[in-house]
Amino acid sequence: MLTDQELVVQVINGDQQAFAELVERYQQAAYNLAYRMLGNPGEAEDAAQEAFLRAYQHIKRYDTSRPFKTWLLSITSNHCIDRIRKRRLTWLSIDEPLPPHPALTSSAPQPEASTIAEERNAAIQALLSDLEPDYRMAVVLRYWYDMSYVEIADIMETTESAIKSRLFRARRMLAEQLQTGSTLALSVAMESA
Amino acid sequence: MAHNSYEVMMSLALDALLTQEEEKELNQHLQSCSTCAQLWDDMTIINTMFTASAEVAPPANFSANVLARVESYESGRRWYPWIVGVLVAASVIAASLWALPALFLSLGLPDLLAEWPVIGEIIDAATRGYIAIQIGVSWVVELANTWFSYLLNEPASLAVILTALVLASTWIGLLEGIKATRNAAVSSQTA
Ligand SMILES: [Zn+2]
Repeated sequence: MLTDQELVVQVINGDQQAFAELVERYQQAAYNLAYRMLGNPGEAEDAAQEAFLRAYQHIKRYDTSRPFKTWLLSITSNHCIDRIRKRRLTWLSIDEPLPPHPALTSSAPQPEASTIAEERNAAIQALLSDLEPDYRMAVVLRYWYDMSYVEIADIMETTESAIKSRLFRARRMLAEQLQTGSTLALSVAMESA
Repeated sequence: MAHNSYEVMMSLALDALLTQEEEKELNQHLQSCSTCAQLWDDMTIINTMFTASAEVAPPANFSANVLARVESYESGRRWYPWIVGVLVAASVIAASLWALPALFLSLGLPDLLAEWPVIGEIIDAATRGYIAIQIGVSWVVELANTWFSYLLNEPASLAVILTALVLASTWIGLLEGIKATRNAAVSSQTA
């Protein structure tokens, strides 16, 4: 199997099939990041697709000493944060109830298990959506991508100590939400704890 | 030490970034401070909840949609140099045709026309030819109009429209150039 770097070289040489392989490898990583940041499956899909297109357009700027995934996630991250900021300028409401994610509703074998997963996911998204985009991004990269502070700082183009403080503040806010927030979040959180 | 620094330590503890001594210090504080103990409980709940959450999968057609976007970007990129080239060529042709009368005059064409009336006749014939072509063009434009909605959905439509524009500007420039040259020739003949 070809490495990511080898595939990138092929993409630069005009092989779109090589790019298709990179999409296969990292579509879930990019999509999940967009979904966690934006909270809406449709918008997440569009944002993740846009991130891949930008990666394709700027493939020559990719520094092969970095993991491709890190580069892709940093493009996705910037794009999602941009979208959230633009969203605030429009009248689009962020307080709309978030629909359950289709991937969680369709593939679960048991209806009961699927409902619990759905509720838990809705609770997580509700908690995340109250965080500032920079804080939300740090939390998402820490929990879903298991990244170190240095790696998160690399993606968010900031310092390790900034990440340390963002994660601390985000966690304190999330904990406070648990005290003051919706009973749904609390009950689901208790259930999963 | 203030509560705040213990709060920072809690976050670091969740990421396993505390030394053993720091961890011990935090635990001692948690046993004596109920405010911090409550916060620690809540942070742990959040931590467990988020750690257990899996990545969500994209829809099945995701990668096909990405590749379709890439393809449409590539086809736009293939047309782009042609579109720019056609526009540049159109401007150059049109500009040079508008400049023809001045060029002809500076070359002494009116004198030449006075000596050789046949050149004037050729120009007349060219003008009539132009009018015929213009009729043809309006017919083509009519046809293009009929297909306009179809063309708009095709990337090639832009090139077709631009080509029509180039042809139109070429003809208009040619007509103006011929007219001005002829007028200059006539006035120099009568003078
Ligand atoms: Zn305390």
